[in-house]
Amino acid sequence: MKRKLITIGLLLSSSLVASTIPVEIFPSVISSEKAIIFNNSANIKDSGLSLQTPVIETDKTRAKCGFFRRECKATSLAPSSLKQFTVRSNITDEILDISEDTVLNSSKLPNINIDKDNLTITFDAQLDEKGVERILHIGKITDYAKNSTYIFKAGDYHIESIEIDNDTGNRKKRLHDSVKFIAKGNVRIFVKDKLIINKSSISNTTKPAISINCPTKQYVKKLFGFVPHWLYTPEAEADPSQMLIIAGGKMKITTKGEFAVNSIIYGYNTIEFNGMPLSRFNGAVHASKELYIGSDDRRRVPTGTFSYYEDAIDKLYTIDTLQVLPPNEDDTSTILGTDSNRNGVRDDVEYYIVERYKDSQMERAIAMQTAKAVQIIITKPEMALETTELMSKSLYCFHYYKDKTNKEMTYRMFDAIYKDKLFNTKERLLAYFKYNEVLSGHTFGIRDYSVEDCYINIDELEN
Amino acid sequence: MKVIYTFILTLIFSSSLFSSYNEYKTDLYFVNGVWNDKGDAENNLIELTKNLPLELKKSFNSFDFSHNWSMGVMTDLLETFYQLKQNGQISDIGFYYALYVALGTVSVTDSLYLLSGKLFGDIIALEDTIEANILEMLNKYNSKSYNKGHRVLLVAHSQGNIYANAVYERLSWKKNYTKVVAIGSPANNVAGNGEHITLTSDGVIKYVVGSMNGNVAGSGHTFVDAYLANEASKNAILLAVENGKNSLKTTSSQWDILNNNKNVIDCNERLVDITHKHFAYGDKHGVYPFNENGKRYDLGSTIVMASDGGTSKLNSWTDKDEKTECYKLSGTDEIIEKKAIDEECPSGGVLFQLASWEILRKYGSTNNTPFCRAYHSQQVCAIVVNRSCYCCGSTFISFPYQEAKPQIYSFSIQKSEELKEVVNIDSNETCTKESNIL
Repeated sequence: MKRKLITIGLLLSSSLVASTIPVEIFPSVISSEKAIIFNNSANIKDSGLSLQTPVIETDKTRAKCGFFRRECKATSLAPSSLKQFTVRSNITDEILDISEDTVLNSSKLPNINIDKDNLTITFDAQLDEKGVERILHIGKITDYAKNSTYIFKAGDYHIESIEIDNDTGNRKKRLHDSVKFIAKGNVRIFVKDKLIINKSSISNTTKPAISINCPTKQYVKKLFGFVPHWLYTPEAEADPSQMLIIAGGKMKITTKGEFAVNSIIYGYNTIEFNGMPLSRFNGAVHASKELYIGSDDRRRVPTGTFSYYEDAIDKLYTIDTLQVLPPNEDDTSTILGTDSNRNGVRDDVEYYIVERYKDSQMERAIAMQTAKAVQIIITKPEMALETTELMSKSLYCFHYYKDKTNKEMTYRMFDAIYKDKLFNTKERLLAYFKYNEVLSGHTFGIRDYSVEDCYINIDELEN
Repeated sequence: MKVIYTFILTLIFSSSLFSSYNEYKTDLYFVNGVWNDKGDAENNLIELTKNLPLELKKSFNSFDFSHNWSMGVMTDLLETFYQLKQNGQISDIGFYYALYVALGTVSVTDSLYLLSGKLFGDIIALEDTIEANILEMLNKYNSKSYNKGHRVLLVAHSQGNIYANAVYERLSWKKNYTKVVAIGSPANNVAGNGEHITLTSDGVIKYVVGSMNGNVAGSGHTFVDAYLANEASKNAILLAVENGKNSLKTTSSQWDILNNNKNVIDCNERLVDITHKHFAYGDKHGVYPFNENGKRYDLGSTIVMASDGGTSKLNSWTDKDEKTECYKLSGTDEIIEKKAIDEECPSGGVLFQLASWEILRKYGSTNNTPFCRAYHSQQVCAIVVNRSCYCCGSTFISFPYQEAKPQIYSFSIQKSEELKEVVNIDSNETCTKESNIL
């Protein structure tokens, strides 16, 4: 598999700090700006013979790269630094103790403490009033309980820190302990400080001790009471791009059992993976500092298998930075259709926008803004007088863009073809007609416009 | 009921109507066609304003658009579209693409002929469907423009012209303050003899029987893609807008000055009353007549009749001639003058004014003829002109207000160290002299 460099043009929504320096990096299997340190062996698949890092340090064991399992080499070209994200967590002294299965869906949550075993906590980020962001701000999450399951519904989660650690020295507690992160739709987790997931237990061999975005069904088979390696299915069935994890502090995913991770991970500090040989990582990971594979304790067993999932990277597009392109599918039986990533834009429309405006990040941003506004206005056309400002803002943003780029007067984005994509059923057309009918007879002013009318600061986009 | 209605109207008029009044302002309204969604109409106006020369653009007070949308027409069109699609006469294109093709942005194809025919038919039949919109537009123009003395320029495109003409016909006296510019109009005239611009091969208008002939070479019908994109029609539109603006500029004031007291020596007496020429309840008092031939506008709570551009009324300024000047209007440098009275002062005397004449009058003149005298060197040197009392000297004198019974008020007149006199004013509002008191 070829190494892949992906240009990450601007990164994300208004929530993120953007710089004008283009970033040319995305992890190819595993990468680090400092060094990748193998404390024991690992099987690095699909990466060729080279890893994106200036230094590879190894101890006695050796990581093997590629189909022929040769010794890994560092690239001559060190990876660039990543874009910095701004994490808007909720810093507070309040603590919410969770002692039963809970669904959390407010826009802001305090520190969360899990103090009972076998709980399921569901985070459900809500769209903000403008319909622009689906975001949930959370304080610190601490979890010293057993067998917690975290379900994240599609959206962005800004968290101060995560510490899930059962290393209490209580052996009874350490048995058969696991933690699960489940993504329902496309999820992005921004952690401001550390992200520690440590399950020092010996896990039940039929399921990993740490499971991040893995299928719920068991895919590790037993034969005569044990799990033969050849029956183990390392390929993930979950799409790694469904769960993006970005951490500002140290990140540790360590266990004396197995970890199974399907995710794309960015770390601005060190990242450590440590697990038993059947552990597997599928997706991509990049650390600004050292990336450790395997701990330096007395164990010298292989750490597991790391696979690069190129398709997931291909599906990322940079309109909102690291957003994932939804399937090109439309449920025409309803006015709103399907919005699998819950970002306020119908899946087929989002797909269309990315395809049509693939050469311009600014136009993608504006088209997305328009599409979000359209979803809102056709949801409640009778509220047109309240919602029409959203459409005006996208038009003003477009004119700001036109002036900025000296586009011809007749150039427009919300044209007949785009309208036909948005209003592709009779019901959707009639809803749009109704919106116009409510506005008919009214007089509206126009005003000066600026980049403030754009949901995403298009001045900071590259093209 | 009529009384109540009139009362409510009066209330509305007197409370909101004349706030931020300015007869020099002109508001531009864009009136769009019936198939334009709100975004299209908004985009049309934005593009129009972008193309206006900067000076012309700045000369307008505001830019608004009146959104006209006919649910009936559009749902009919939609039905026709789906019918054609079902019959296989339109394939693989969406409604909006078909609509814009039918509008003549590109040539009308056979498959879209029925749709375009339906569209044109609806244009002609539109007059029955717009009553509600016309009333809404009238209300908006009244509250936002006419009630504030603003002039109105309507720039109408396509069926927007039918709305513009209908609105104009209901304006009565406001017609004098309104102009219409017609673009791609299906109507057979432009209200108020306004200018019209129609492309010779306008894909829609050429099929409308009775419409005005094209007068600018070009094709297409949509406002931006056809009329503004075509250099000749764009220039014609901009010129028509400028002409309309200039024509409105020549209109006279809607207000008459009732009493212009030019021959008074009290500045307070120079303020005038004005009355609206067309509206019975519109009298205004205490207006500053900086320019009798000017127009009315408000500077906060101060109402002036003046040339355009005044920014604030000044009571004092450098090089003010206190004898003849009362107020100045910064921005226009227009001055309200009063009658000079130097000639009535005896030789050697200096006139000064006794303020607060109202106090004296309050204490009951028997015949409403205020009278005051002050003596100097055995001669009457003070005179009474209107309700102001002027005496010789250099000291400004004011009477204290007292609620008590009328009594003798004493005040001193001091011209120099040598001359000290006291003048008493009794309840009969006469001024008497008591010598040698001070």
